[in-house]
Amino acid sequence: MSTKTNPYARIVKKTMDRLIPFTVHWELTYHCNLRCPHCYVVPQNSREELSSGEITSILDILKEKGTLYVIFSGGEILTREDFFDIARYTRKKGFAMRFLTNGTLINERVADQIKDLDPLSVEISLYGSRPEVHDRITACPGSFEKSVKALGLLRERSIRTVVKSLLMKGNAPEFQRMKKLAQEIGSQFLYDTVIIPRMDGSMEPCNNRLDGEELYWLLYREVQQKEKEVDPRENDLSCSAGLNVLSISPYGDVYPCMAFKESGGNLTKNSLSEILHSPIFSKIRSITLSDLRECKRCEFIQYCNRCPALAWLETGDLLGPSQADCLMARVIKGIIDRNQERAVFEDQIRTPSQNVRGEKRT
Amino acid sequence: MENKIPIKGPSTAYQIIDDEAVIIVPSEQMVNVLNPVGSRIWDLADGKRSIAEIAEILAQEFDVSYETAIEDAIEFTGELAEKKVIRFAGEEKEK
Repeated sequence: MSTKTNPYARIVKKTMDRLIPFTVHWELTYHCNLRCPHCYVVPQNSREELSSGEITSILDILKEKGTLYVIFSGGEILTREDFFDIARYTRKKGFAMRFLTNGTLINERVADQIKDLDPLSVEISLYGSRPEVHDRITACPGSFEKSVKALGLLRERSIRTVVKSLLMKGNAPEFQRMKKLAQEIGSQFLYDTVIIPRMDGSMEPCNNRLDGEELYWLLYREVQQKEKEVDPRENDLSCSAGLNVLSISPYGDVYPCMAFKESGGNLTKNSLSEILHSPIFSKIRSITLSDLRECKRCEFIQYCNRCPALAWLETGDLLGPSQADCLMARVIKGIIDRNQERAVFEDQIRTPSQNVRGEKRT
Repeated sequence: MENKIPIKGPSTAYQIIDDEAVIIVPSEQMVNVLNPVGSRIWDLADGKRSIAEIAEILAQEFDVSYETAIEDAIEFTGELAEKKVIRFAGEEKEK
């Protein structure tokens, strides 16, 4: 996207250059009514979540500091009794909102309330195309039916919906069927395959990650040649964490991104400016490709969308490689190489240069 | 027309970065970036000032004649109203 011709891209670049928190990912609560084993969240029960008053005060600051997008997630956002008070205030202040939810608490009345808020999108997690798959993962019988019903209620009200799925050992074969289901509902479909470690450092959720072969067969139809064009050497690192993106926890802690849970401060005690210039925010912003001892020499680097937070979560080393990203880079290269071989082969059988007797065709 | 009082649409999301307003109409999934004059008109559309009052401020700040400023302000607020990004006080609400 050229910043010379695209005014929006120019503004986004400006927010990065000037550390304006254009996008804020706000985990409003860590409480949830589902029990997904892959979830990274660990509620800190000894701490009080921010009150709606504290949240509205922080929203005032964010508006003043240049925030446009607020993404509310959890936990489950609708377990907060004051969710709609918070969301209405967010709307009144002129933020563009996205809601990430499991959808199980959305009924006709709630869908009407969401409609009045005009969110950019409501994004609902789905882990299967059938109750027996989805409900087994959420450990909550009936959750599939409720989530799918919610998608329908929102679509009836012309609210843009997104089905988001995390593909793992328990549901990978459902991939194409989930895509089809999302299409039938009228939702966009987005998926991810990276399960992140739990906030307390436990790697247990990662046991559900797909291995290389499973990823290969899952993604071989999805990966296009264009992915090869990603070359981090051209722009060092593309991560916007701590530049124009930040994440706020239910307790007011501020992180460079949702996955990187090293706090730069707490908005009930520190100013946003102090937090943005804290050692951890400064550190993550300062990383360049030359700092990455192993990654900078890696033959797969042009296939890699390296996430520093993931490396840190897996190994405690912000500058080292991430197992999950390394695996994905190898899988993508494998798929692209195979596609190229197949393209050459198909080209040869479609336009043979010689006939069976070795005579050149005209 | 110059006595009309523009108000930002209640469902419009926006932010002003330096002199440029980024405006999003969620129902349309549409993002607009306004130029500095348009952004100032947007900023001043607070439901209190009339278009004429806005034009007076524009004339001072952008060093143009009042006639030019009022012409621009009328045209621009009309365009924004058509896109339902703003409405005028006393007229039917956007929703």
